[in-house]
Amino acid sequence: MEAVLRVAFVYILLLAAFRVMGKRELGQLSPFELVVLILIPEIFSDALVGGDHSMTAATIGGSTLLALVFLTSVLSHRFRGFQRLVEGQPTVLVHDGRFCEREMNRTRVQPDEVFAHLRAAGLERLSQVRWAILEEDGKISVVPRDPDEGVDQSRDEDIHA
Amino acid sequence: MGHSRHADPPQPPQPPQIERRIELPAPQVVGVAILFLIPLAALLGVFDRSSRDEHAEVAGLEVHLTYPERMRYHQSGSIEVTIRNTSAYRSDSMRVTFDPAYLERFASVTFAPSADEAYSVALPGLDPGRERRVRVDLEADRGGRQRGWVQVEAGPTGHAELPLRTFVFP
Repeated sequence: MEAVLRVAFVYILLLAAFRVMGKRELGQLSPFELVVLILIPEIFSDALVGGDHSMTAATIGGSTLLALVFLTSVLSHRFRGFQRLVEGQPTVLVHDGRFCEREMNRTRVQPDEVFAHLRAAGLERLSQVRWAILEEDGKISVVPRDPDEGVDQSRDEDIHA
Repeated sequence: MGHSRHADPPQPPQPPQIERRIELPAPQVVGVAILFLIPLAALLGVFDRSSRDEHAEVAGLEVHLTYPERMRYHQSGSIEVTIRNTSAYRSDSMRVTFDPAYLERFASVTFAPSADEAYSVALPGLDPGRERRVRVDLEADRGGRQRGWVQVEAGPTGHAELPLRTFVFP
């Protein structure tokens, strides 16, 4: 019984912690942040097994974790509100060639990071972007403007507050 | 360089919604049921350590045995034999013997009081109403069902044998 409760507690704790940390932490890990992330299982491993290193305890812990992951995915699929609670929502970083400054500050995304994704998408100027969106998984999606649309290069430094 | 200000951030086109419902193929339902069954059984205490009691009477002595019924690998447990003199007379000396084959399937076996012979503890006679206890501490070392016995001998004729049945989760 204790193993189930320990795993459930750590699962909920980590779920909440990652939601609080924000999407950026998931998608844009620096080498140091990666090391910190690797330390988490090291810290929790002893607390999870509670000194019980039997195969039974490992089976109970593993199946509890997988059952919680499955339950979370089922609830996320069934209830949109739960999905938003657990996964968050996409955040618009650029709209019609303008930075959304408030959203960028909230998600701690630098203009340089957005431009790196623009270049990866084959774009060089902000004015070429219809949408740049920080997705729920922390990745930045870039939707270019229609090439037939007139590109107003004066927008390259525009900012949505 | 025109900085425009908006109260609400612009929203990209939203995907059309579908009727959200859970549809699992039959084999996945079975798999998921098994997946949930394990933690559920654990919550109900199926995999927890538990003990079992046995009683016997021999030559005016009441014998009470407590032993681990379920244990996990490397988990510690103990067997306790409590002998109480329920007669009006002082009992003969006693001997409590544990099944060697059973105890050899466990590790770190220690006796209190100490065994004077292999897996056997001698006890002096008991005054009426008094009791003595023999305790064996052990650690589960082999998974599966372990069966054995405890014998209590009191004087030349008194003899009782109580079963030991322990399941060790691997």
